[in-house]
Amino acid sequence: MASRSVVSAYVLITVPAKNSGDLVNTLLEDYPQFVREAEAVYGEADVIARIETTSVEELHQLVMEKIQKLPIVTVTRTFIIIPNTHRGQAGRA
Amino acid sequence: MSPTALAALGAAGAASIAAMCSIVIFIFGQRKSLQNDHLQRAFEKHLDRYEKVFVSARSAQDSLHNYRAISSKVTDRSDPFLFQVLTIAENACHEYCLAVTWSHNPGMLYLSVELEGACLRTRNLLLKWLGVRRMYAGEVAFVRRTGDLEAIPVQAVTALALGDYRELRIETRRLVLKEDNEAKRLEEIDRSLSKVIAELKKVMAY
Repeated sequence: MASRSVVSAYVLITVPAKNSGDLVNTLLEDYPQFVREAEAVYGEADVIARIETTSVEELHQLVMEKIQKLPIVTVTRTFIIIPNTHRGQAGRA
Repeated sequence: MSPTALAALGAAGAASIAAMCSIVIFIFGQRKSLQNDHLQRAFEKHLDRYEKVFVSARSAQDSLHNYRAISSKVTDRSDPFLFQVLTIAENACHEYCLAVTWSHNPGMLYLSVELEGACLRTRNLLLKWLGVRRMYAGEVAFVRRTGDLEAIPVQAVTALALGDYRELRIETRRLVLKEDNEAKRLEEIDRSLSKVIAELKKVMAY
C-alpha cells in the first residue's frame, strides 16, 4: 500500500510568559489534523510542536496563516525533519 | 513788485510749504504711532501664543534631530527606543502644526506676511512628513540557509521548497520603516524650522 506523502517539522514557538499551556491546548484542539505533539518546554522556545502536513506548501501555510496569526505567538522557528532518518535508524537498531 | 516784496512772498510760500510738510509728517507720525501702539497691544495680547509657536518649533526641531540620530544608529528597526523618539517627534510636529493654524492661533494675524508664510511653509513640510506611514505591524520572515539568518519577503515564504532552508523564522513585529528620501526631507524641515525660530526670536525681542 502506497503511504501518504508527509512533510514533518518541529516548530519552536515563542509566546509571552504563562501562555505556553494555552498555546499547547489551542494547537492540539484547533489543528489536530496537523499537530502530532505539542509540549511546553523550558529554554529558548516556550512550546515545541511536531507538525505533519501533506506538502511543504501546506506546512508554510499552516505556520504563516494559522500559528503565527495566533495573537499570543510572537516567533515561530520551523525545522523540517529530514525524511526517513528516524525510521532508518530505528530499522538498523 | 519790489524785490523785497517778492522775497517776503517767497518766504511766506516756503513757510507755508514747510508748515504743510510738518502737518503731513505729524499726521503720518501720529498714524504710525497709533499703528505701533495697536501692534504692541496686539503683540502683548497674543504673546503667549507666539511663545507657544516658538516653543513648539524648537521642540519639533529638537525631537526631529533626536529621531534622525537614533534612526541612523539602530540596527534593529523594531527597537522600542526608536518607536519612542518617533512618537515624540510626531507629537511635537503635530503641536507646531496646531500652533500656527488660524483656528488655534488668532495671533498669526499680527505677524508679518513673510514670517506667517515661513510658518505655514514649515507646517506644510511637517504635514508631508507626518503623512508618511512609518509604523508597520506584521510578520517578518528570515531563513537560515547556512550560517546567519537572512531576511526574505513574507510573500516568499509559501514559495519556499523542501531543502531551501535549515530554519525558517517568522516574527510578528512592529517596525519603524525607513523612508527613501527621509534625510533630504528632514534637512529641508530643519532649515525651515531654523528660519522660523530665528524670525520669531526677533519678534519676541521686540
